[in-house]
Amino acid sequence: MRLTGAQLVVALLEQQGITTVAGIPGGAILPLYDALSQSRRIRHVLTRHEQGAGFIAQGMARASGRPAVCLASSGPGVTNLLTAVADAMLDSIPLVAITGQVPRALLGTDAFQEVDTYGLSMSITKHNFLVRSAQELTRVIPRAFAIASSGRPGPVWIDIPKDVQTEVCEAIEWPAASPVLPAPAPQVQAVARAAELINQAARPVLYLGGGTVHSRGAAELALALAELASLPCTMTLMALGVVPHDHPLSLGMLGMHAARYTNLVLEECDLLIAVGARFDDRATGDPKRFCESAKIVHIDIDAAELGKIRTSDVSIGADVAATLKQLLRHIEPRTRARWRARVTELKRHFPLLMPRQDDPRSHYGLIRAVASCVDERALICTDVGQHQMWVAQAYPLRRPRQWLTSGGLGTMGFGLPAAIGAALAEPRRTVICFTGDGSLLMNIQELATAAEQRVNLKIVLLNNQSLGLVQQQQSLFYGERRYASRYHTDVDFPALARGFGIQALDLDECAEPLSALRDAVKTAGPCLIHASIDAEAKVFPMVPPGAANREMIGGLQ
Amino acid sequence: MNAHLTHSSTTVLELTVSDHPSVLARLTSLCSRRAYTIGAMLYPPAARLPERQLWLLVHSNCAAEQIAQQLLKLEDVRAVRHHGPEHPLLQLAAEQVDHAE
Repeated sequence: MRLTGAQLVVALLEQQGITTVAGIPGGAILPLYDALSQSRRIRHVLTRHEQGAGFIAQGMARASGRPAVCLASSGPGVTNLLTAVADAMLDSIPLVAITGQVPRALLGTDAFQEVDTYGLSMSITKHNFLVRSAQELTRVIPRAFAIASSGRPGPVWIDIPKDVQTEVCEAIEWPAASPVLPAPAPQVQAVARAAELINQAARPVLYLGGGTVHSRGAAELALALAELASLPCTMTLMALGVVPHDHPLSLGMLGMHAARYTNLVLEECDLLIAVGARFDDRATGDPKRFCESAKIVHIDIDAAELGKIRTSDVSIGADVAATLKQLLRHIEPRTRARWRARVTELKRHFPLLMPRQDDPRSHYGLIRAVASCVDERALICTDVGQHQMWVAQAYPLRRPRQWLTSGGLGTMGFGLPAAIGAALAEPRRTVICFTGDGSLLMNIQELATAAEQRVNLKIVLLNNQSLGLVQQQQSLFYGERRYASRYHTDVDFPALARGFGIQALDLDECAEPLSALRDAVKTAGPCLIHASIDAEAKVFPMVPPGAANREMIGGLQ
Repeated sequence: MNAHLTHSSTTVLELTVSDHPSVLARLTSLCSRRAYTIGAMLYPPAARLPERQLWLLVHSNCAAEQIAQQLLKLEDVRAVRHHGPEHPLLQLAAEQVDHAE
């Protein structure tokens, strides 16, 4: 069999089970696109910006848990893709980015549209490859997928010079389908010691991170552990949905914009069981003053996270699902009535306040109204900013992978393309994308992609004509000196959406916003739902950056 | 011996790495981002391809174990071993500094 490098790439992607890729062609990747045009199994989604392609692939990967692929050409195609790949790195999302590169003979000559893709992508990927011969592709592509989805997942970048794509390969050694590389097994003694600490603890808290979403089966096991041992559970932004919002053991999200009671419960705990979480500063506040009097059990597949921020009493570097399974065998049932009563008391005195939550013209009210229009099958995506934190606080999430948000990198512009990707991966579900005017404008061009793909996506735009979180920080910590955080042009978003061929609803102009909202959500296809919100509204409570979590501002009755 | 070389966070790490042109770029990029200062490096020709041994003298506020774990996350780093202050690389680096002064 004779295949070009480009044909080989397509065949190898098909072997990996890839059915949808997102990207933009350009000179250096045209041989690959030419080969892709002949594929009967892979559908290409043409985006309007490479960052859109990266986030569409992320949306597919986040919704499905499987690696997804984005494509771009050399030079600006590569630089445009970087943000989406860095975002995948910070949130441990399995992504395979494939880019075209100038021909081998031109590498390093400052040729047209040449950038050092390898150097640029090195620190924002789990691993990267510059492919120097077509023959290498049979090793590199399966390896890239194995790396992306093994251990702590993450992005892998494959840069392929144009003449490698056209090089003819004669004797092709077909690789076996790439296996997921084995994770280290939980250490038996450490698991026993962790169980002992849990069994002995009077005031334990289970602290769940994104790892409980990534590790297959971990969410159910974490909930089983919590219920068996009566462990109140808090979740990071990445883990929302792992414990249903209305579960009696749920404490909701911890950290900078947690309910007051959640951070106060953590203050009082005597054992913190961190599972697939990395003690991020947005979750812990000042890490030295986080759960100061608690012993710590830390379980994570990435051994470099153990002891990185806080030393723990028991560290287990292993897959969290495998560890939880073992741990459960050693756990004694407990009711912990006193501790549960104390948690209830704190919750009663310091609840999350959501003013005007019954008014769909307020931010909390709109989020709750949208939630009332769909059930837990819907996927909930956000952009980044105030709206993201309000949705994290107020949306009744009930299952893992229901929630897609940019956590680690906090990338404005994530929402729309990631939601398109989620809708492509889960075509039978409704996808809601909550966004803000600042975020939406950062990848607004992908409305054209949404229209073209006819995705069942409802974009709920909370418009305050501001960079809300910036304005909030300037108000609270910079002497009310608001600067460069207010937009002076009132963009007509519904008209803009219609211009892209998307239906639009302006709730500002609806006499009956709730019924109009319900109709818009129930109608298949993409739709923009616009609502003006109060630019003075803030996300409360708020822990000032660098402060201890107990030092919350606002959110008091 | 100079104080900064005997700092408690100075360590010698022996790495088994893939013999790949980019391996040094990967190591130095990681070390600079995480503020692990490379005090000395020994990267002799390979005795046994496709792997090579590399010795790094690193100063950092992080524990040696944390540095080792971060390095192990690189695909091209296959194994990491710690060495104590008696390691000849540390002695050699100290002698060079003394000599320069």
